[in-house]
Amino acid sequence: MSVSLALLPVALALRVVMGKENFEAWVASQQERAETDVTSEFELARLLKQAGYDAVKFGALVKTHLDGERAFFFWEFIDGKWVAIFSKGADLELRNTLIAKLEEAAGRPLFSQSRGSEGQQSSTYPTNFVDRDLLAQALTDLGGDPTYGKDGSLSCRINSAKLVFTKEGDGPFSVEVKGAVKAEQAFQYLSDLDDDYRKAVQTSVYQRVKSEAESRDLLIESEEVLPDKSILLTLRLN
Amino acid sequence: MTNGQIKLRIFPDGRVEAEIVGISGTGCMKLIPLVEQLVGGETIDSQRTANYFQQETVGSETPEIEATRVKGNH
Repeated sequence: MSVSLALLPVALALRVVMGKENFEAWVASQQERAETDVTSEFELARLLKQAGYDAVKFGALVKTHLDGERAFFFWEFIDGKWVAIFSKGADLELRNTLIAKLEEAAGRPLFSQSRGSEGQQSSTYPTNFVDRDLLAQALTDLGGDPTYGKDGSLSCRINSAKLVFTKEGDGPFSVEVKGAVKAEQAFQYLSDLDDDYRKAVQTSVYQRVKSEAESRDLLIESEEVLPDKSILLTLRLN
Repeated sequence: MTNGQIKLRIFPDGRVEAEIVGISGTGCMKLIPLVEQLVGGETIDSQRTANYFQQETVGSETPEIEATRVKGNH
C-alpha cells in the first residue's frame, strides 16, 4: 500500500552532467589558432630560437615547448603561413609570453590575432542551476561577490576570471567563463559550485517542506539526518 | 483519520525521494500532487510497490506497472 516517487526540485535542472573525462576530451578537442605572417619554416625556427624556444620538426608540423618540457603546442603551415595551434585549455600567460617574445625577436607584430585577453578568451558551459538566488548564495559561499544584472544575469569575478551566468526563460543558466583561466580550472570551480548549489537546494527544499506542512496542518512526526547527509522527514497524513 | 504517512528523503545533491505509505489503492496516486507541492518539484519517476498491487488487484484487473518519467523543464 505504498507508492515511491523520485522528484526533482524546480530549482534543479535535469541535465546530463558532463563528466570530467568527457570534459577533458572535449577540452582537448578545442583548438585555437593564432596566425602569423611568417611564410618560411626557416624564419619561424630562427625566431623561435632567438626568443628562447625550440622548434622540433614533427612530420609536417613544428613542435614548440612552453615552460620547459611541461607544455607544448604545434605550428602548422596553412594557406602559406605558419599558424600556432593552441589548445583552448592552454595557459594563457605562457601563450602571451611566447607571442610577446616572438614579436620582440621579429621586431614587428607577427600575429594577426594578437595575445589573448579577457574579451577574447571565453568559453560557455551548461549548468544545472535554475534559481538565481540560490546560485548567488552558492557563489557567495565559494567566496565570490555576485552582482545581479538587469537582464536576469548574474556575474561574479573569481581570481582572474569573470563568470557570467545567463538564462533564457525558465531554463537553466549557462555560464560564460571570461579571462585567463584554464578550462580544467574552470571545470573544477564549476564542479565545486555545482556541489554548493545542490546543498543550497537541499536546504531550500527542507525549509519549504516544513513551511508547506505547517500551512496544511500536516504533522511532521520525525526528522533526522542520515549518514549520507540526506534529510529524512516523516509527515503524518490527517 | 488515517494511518497514512509521507516519507521524504532530501539528498545533498538536491534530489528528493518520497514514499506514500498506509494509503490503500489509488488513494496513493491522488497524493502525488500534494507531495510535489510540498517539495516544490516534479515527479520524474513513480513506482507502486508490491503491496499496492495486492490491495489493488482485489476484485479488479491487474493494473500495469506505472513508471512515469517527466522531463525536467527547468
